Amino acid sequence: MKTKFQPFATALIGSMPRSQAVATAKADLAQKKISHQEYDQILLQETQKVVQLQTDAGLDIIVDGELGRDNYMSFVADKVPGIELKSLAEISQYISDKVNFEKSLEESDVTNAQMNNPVVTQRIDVNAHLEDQEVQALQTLTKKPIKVTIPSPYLLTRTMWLEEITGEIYEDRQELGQDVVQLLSNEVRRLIAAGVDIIQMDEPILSDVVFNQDQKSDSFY
Amino acid sequence: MQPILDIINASDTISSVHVCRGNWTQNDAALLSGSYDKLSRFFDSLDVQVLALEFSTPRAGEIKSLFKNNSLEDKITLGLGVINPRNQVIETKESIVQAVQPVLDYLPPERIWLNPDCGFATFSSCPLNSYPIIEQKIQQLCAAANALREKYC
Repeated sequence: MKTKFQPFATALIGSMPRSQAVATAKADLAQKKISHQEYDQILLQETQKVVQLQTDAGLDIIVDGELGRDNYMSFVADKVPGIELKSLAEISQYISDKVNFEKSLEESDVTNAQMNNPVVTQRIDVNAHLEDQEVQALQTLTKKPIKVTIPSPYLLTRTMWLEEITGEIYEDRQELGQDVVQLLSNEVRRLIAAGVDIIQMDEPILSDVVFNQDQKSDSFY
Repeated sequence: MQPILDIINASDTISSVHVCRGNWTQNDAALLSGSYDKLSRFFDSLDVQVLALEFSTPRAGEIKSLFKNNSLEDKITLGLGVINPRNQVIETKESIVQAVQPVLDYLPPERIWLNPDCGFATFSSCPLNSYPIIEQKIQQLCAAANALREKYC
């Protein structure tokens, strides 16, 4: 394997808690109280603290903490035309089996207010950039090897498909899946060109498919 | 997934896949359970360099189930989850070193990496730990890596 890493190389998986400063900046940006530049500046300052924490501890590989992301996959809605963020309450309106959907949320210890989901509402722009800005920022903060995370195409396709909306635009999940693979392939080529050392695909949903197979179809995922 | 991994594998960048059983609550009972044997055939079919997996929680089963009936031990680097992001108990250097030992039956030190089971705040609205706790956990992670290098390298 191509590696420049020492045995027992250490790294975080990706996400770190968003500070109050980040939360405030995000709310202020949404209400247009601050500009995008001001927001980016605050995000950079907070990311710098996360990088410093990792560097001080002695981790071999550095991540940016994903502070600007709502979550590991919903952030694509901020970046890709054709994808919109919807709350679980909004999505619930479209789900035929509401009782089971809400029961699934409850059993999973998820409340409506906590999570947002990306939904495909138009054909997605497969040339949209997902992470270059974050990568450039991280590279100004560290000279150590860096890891960048992307959601897996399977996870993203499954999550972003809302039959009542997406089904009007794409023939089926497979057709959307092809666009998602294209979107991520384009992104990965840019990340490689930018010199990212490790690209990690996040695929938590696979374990849902395997371990939760006997659950109802309208599960929390 | 494989077409994207192929693009990465053809470059100097290292490809990695992270799989876990959920990371949205500290309530362990609400998260998924199951050992990796059910997924290991899928892992085996992937052309990927690093698998970053959770192992600090008993819900993930034993190491040996990952390597059962497949050729993963010949090819992968395991990003071994040795820190639980969802509790306030600080893992110790010693407990992490101990957790790594069974993996050495399957993989050489250069193909064992160490990481937490998952992110510390997968969802922006539900961070799983505070920075002071995270800092201590990461310090123990790095101390364990150093101890393992002294012992096995």
